[in-house]
Amino acid sequence: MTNATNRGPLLLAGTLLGGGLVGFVDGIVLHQVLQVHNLMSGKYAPTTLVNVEINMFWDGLFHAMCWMMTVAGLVLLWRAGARADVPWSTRTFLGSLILGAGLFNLVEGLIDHHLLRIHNVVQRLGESGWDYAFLVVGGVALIALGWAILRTGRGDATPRGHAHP
Amino acid sequence: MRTLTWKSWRERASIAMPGLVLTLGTLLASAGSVSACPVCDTGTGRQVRAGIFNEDFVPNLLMSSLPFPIFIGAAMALRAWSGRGGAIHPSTTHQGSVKPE
Repeated sequence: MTNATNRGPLLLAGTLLGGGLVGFVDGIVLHQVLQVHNLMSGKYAPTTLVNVEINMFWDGLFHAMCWMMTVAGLVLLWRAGARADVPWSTRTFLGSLILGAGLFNLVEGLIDHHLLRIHNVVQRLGESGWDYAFLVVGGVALIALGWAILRTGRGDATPRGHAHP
Repeated sequence: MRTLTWKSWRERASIAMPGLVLTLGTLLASAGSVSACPVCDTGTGRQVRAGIFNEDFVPNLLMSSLPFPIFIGAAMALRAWSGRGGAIHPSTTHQGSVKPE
């Protein structure tokens, strides 16, 4: 049984999961632990209790949307695993996770940091090198790494139940 | 595997109950320190609500959610492209010769 060649469903599941999970990393590390920015800190400077609370509300909505994307990725992963034409490939899944993480960072960085300017990576600095480092390291580099891993999995063609763990 | 009966649930509930009561009591006693929440009926809570639910709410909601549909659209485009035999799609010309993982 080596003719499972439809990587699309696994690719989409991994990409959505990667995007959702990296959104949680952003929210947990940058918003909550390091507190270098919040989702709306460019609009509501978190220098008063009221503004901190307002930012917390929008951070919560950001996390809710990441959660929904993660759940959608899980559902798609489950459905992909039930299909005989989808290869159960670790390299495809890992590659799409990393690619999804990079793609989400790139989209979020371009829109939120540069287009809408609702926040910057380090809010107290405004637009800074951190914003460009975020795009390059968190976005483009992760996309390239994910893409490279995806390519190594092109030959994987064993469906779930027949693949090595 | 042990089956959870009504009796075992009651036993567990009786063990957890003191902790729940203590937690609730602590929360109520410290209500003054959490009075800035968006659903708190306090002066600060009202300011927070006013700062969220105003004429900027819909624009803020659209701005904060904009990356998500764009990302999902890009992911779906990637999936469609891979299904059309893109560079990351496995070769289907020699299906019998592809290597299993």
